[in-house]
Amino acid sequence: MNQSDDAFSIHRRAWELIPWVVNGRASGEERRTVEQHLVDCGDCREEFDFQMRLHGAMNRPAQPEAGADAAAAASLQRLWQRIDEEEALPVVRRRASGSFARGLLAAVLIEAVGIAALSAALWTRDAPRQTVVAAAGAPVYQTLSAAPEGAAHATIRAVLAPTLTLGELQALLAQSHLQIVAGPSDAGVYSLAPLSVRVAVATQPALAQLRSNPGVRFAEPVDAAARPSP
Amino acid sequence: MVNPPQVEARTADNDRELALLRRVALGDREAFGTLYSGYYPRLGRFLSRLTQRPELIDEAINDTFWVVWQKGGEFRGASQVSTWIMGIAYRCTLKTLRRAGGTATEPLSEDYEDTGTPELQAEQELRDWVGKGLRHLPQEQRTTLELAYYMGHSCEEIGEIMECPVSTVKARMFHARVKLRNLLPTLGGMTERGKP
Repeated sequence: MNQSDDAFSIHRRAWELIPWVVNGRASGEERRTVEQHLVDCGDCREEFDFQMRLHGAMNRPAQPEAGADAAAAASLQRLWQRIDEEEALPVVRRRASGSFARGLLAAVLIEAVGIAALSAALWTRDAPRQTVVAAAGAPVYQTLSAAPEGAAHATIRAVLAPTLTLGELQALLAQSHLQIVAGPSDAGVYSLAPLSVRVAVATQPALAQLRSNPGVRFAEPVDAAARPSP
Repeated sequence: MVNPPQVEARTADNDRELALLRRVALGDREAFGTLYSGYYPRLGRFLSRLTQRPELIDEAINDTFWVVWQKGGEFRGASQVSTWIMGIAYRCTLKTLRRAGGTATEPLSEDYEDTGTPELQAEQELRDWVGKGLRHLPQEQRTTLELAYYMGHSCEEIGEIMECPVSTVKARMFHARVKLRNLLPTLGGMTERGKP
């Protein structure tokens, strides 16, 4: 690259950086590049001045509008009304509102059908090797409502969206003071229990937190009566 | 041109907004109200350059903050709070405009009433004139310039807000600048005339 190519490349870079120097977002190195170039380049100085004036004109304070605060307060009031109405709806219906949620529900249904088909196929394949009743007489199958082994302390069962990242799951559990004690089951059900026996976690608030998270598809309390005694 | 206090102020603003957002995630309505009141005038003025219909501006602001209320807990601090909120606002506004069948092509509202003093009249005239110049830009170029010059976002943040590569932001800025130089050739003279 000869000297004139070099000068042109610096000119082009400086010209491109001017707006970010004007709005104060250029890095120190970028700012120095522009400042040094402006000393020798009349075109860029003119452009820099123009952009400074434009920036100034766009940031001139607008005339204070009479009643602006009242307008903001009224608008916020309307938003609270909308939020309250939304939150008053049952969880399932609330989540089902909107085209996205409808799509999500359709996806869940398709997934459920898929899981059912897969389970049926696996059952058929494994059937000859399975003993439906164990030697001691205890059934080896497990229903969705039955508590999985190790879930003696579970207070909540939940199904999570596949899009929920590990980090989000950890944050959600920490926020709700819950831990996973079993799962996921074949049907994708996790059993959740309070983080520590010393920390009394009310089930309803923890449930509310889980349900308010879009990454949780289903969260229901474990029926205390159905829970095996520890 | 070096302005470290500006950087410090931006960091302090972000820390304050992050603290508010954390409280919003826990359902704190007072924190939400504070965040809303802080953004309402800024967003209102920003959106007024995308549409002149006040009811659409209000709708877009409330759609934006409805999402903030719902998703505040999902914000992980990977960007500035303002970048996150402006990204939501940009998408909500485009959606609102599409739904209403309106773009930023409505005539500029002539609500700049004379207020008496020549200084204020000159200020209004200048704002009005620059506003008209901006309105001749395609929406993406105008928004890029607004986000950079009015909202003070960096090139990378604008890419995040408008969901486009940084190279696209640079190209939009380039074209916006070239067009405005042609549309507002006497901006300097106008400024000088505007001075008392």
